[in-house]
Amino acid sequence: MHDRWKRYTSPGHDELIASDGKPRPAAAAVATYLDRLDDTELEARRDAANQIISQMGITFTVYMDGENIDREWPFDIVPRVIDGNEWRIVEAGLKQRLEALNLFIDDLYNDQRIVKDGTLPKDLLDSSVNFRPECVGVHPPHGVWAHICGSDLVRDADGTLYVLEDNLRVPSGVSYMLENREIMKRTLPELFRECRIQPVDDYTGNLARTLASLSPRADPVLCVLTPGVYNSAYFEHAFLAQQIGAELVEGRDLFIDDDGYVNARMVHGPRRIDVIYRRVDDAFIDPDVFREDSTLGVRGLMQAWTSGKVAIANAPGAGVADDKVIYSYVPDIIRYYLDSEPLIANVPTWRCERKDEREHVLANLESLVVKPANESGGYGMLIGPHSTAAEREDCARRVKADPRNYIGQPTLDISTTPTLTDAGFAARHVDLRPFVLQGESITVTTGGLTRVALVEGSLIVNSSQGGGSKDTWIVDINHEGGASQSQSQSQGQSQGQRQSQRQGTR
Amino acid sequence: MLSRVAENVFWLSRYLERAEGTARLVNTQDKMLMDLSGEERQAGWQSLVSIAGMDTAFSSLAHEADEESVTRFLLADPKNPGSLINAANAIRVNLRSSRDTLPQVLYERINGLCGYIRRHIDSDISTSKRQHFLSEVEHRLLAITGTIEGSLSHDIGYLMVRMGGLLERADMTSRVLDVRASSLPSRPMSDEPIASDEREWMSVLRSLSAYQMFRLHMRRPINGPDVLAFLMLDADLPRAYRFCLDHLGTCIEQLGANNREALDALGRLQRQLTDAQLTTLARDAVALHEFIDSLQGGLADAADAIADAYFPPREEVEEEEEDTNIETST
Repeated sequence: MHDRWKRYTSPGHDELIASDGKPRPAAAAVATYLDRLDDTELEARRDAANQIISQMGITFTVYMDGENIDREWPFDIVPRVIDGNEWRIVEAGLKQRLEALNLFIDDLYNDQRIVKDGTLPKDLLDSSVNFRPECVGVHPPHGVWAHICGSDLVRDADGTLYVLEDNLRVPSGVSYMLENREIMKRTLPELFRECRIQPVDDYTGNLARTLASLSPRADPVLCVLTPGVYNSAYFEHAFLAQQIGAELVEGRDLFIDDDGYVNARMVHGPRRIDVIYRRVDDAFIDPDVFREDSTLGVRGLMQAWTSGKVAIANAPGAGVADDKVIYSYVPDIIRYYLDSEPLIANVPTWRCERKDEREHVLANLESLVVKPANESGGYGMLIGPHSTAAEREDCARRVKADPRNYIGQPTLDISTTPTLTDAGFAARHVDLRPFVLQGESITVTTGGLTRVALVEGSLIVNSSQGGGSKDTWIVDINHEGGASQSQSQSQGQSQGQRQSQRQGTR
Repeated sequence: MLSRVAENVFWLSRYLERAEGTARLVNTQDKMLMDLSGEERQAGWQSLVSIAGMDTAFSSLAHEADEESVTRFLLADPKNPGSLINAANAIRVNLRSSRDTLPQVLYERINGLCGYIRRHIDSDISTSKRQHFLSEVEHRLLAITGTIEGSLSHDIGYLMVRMGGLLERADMTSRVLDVRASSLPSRPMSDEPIASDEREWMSVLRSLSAYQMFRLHMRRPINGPDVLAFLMLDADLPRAYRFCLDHLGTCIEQLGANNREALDALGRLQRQLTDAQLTTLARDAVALHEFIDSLQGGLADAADAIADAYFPPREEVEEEEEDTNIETST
């Protein structure tokens, strides 16, 4: 034992270590284990993880100095641990949220009841850049538009978990969640014997089922549509295609036949495609309908989709609910369509289009976070407490020029987890992106992708801006306080063990 | 399999084969040249450049063909499109585009090879480390071949790998023979063994992994005409020209669909080979060079016919658009 946790401090809420320096119950086993390893051994494990990443070719692509460079995926060997009991509530909350959002999108493109009833202001819809008039009147299978959703969760200093945003267009990162587990199993195999960690690998099966449920045919042909090998998430596109048995296609591999169906150019001739999991943004999927200059899409694809000859996930137009102003209405949307209270909180949000709220934002730029409504990846964002006067001035100008497209939120004191740095374990801020799938039914990843800001004090977790990631563990604990040991059951003990588990969850 | 991906897999395999051929060629030549005098050595190094078909490009870059300049040119020079480092880069590009169709274990091995070459190419091609480096490259390539045999279904992708490898092999065999045969201009090839010739032909066999098989199957002293016949006409030797053509034909037949023209082109080439009077050609360096030249033309035609039958129409293969920010959520 090296007593590292007694010396460890977090500026806010820490996911693994309580303020008294004692590991939280779900993290007890892993914290104790890591503290048993000496510095040399920890470093060796970190090097081993990096070697595995290089060998497995887990990369993301950045565009720098006119060149596309494959960077190896930055990974931290300390897992982020979540108590199974808390997770069950989060999971229910995420399902509730996506179900409501899909009812909302379907309503917007059809009856617009929510606007007529006055719950959502009409001008908000009229000014939405992601509302696609071309999608009006379409009824996708199961009434679902956003089949794959990545919602970003953060925890504030008081321990409350918030949804920070919902990514309903082409959320990425799930392959890294799966690969992180693989890396972890190869790097610290002993831990998996000591802790009961719920597996994550049901995601790809669920994804394949979700996509297949969008086609009326029995064994539908799936494909993943990628912008190509230079896209920052190409690794993930290839990974997912491989895992779900889909063809990985580019726009130029597809064409629409005389009957209006989508076909792929195969070695032995055309093959009909039933479901397209597209990782190309709406604006690029069909040059006949959206951007004419797109070389990434397929001419005539929208026509094939609106006439029901192919399913597209996520459906074109689903991004309308990805707007950060719409975000502020999600609690109302949940109440409106499901008649229930949201299970996970929204971050309090001021909408700059409203005069009183705008004034509040402009008067408090130093303490707030200001975000453009339709950007992602942290672009165009102002983090008040970390900003310069010039940045605040620039932000105020942008807000005044286009108030509809800005929101303000309090700067959350985002939680940390211990992260292995050159100076030993140190607190670094994390978020969590679980992935929710909806087709015929709804499923949630077990945990999700934990992203970590590797720079001390930084809140930016994006991989393009110095972020890394961690394996995320959902750990079931019993009431004795430790993570339950996983043991293979033998006939004699199974009775008693089952009883102790029942006690544990009571 | 998508036509586009089929083409990527095909070229992935060609470049793997090219890397293996280049590594083996440099390694065997190296060992043989250790036995020669200074003047002969220089000619020996120049002949490696000729095999690569890069005499003009090389002369514009270096004054003299010596160990240092030639090995650097063949292995580490990005300006030589046939260099080992460029093969590694091309392998990486094609590997990316076909990643989803290959078993992960195969992907990891190929990715590992490219990483190894890139890490060591600048520091490890000096005399003392080169043999180890090239042997390691060769071993890794053999492991990749083994992984392909052990983990890839014998479906379209496998046939593409086979075809790419066989075409590249046939090409390499013909180029080695062409240059070797013409590098002995003063003495017409004869049945009577001459010590230096024997050494040279031994090196030819070794550079095509054929030395022991020659010994085993020909049971005669090493001599030009026999080596030529063995490497051209043997039906069982994996790097013999005929072997490559025969197996290429089997692949095209298995692929079926729209394969008439590819089979015709290959048939013409096979007839050209069987009709050739190799014993006569072995005694006439000029005629032999012309013959091999026409074989290479025929092989290129066969490759074109394969591309027409199975790959995307050529005008549609455009340069990749560089779109890095299409995907908005990361």
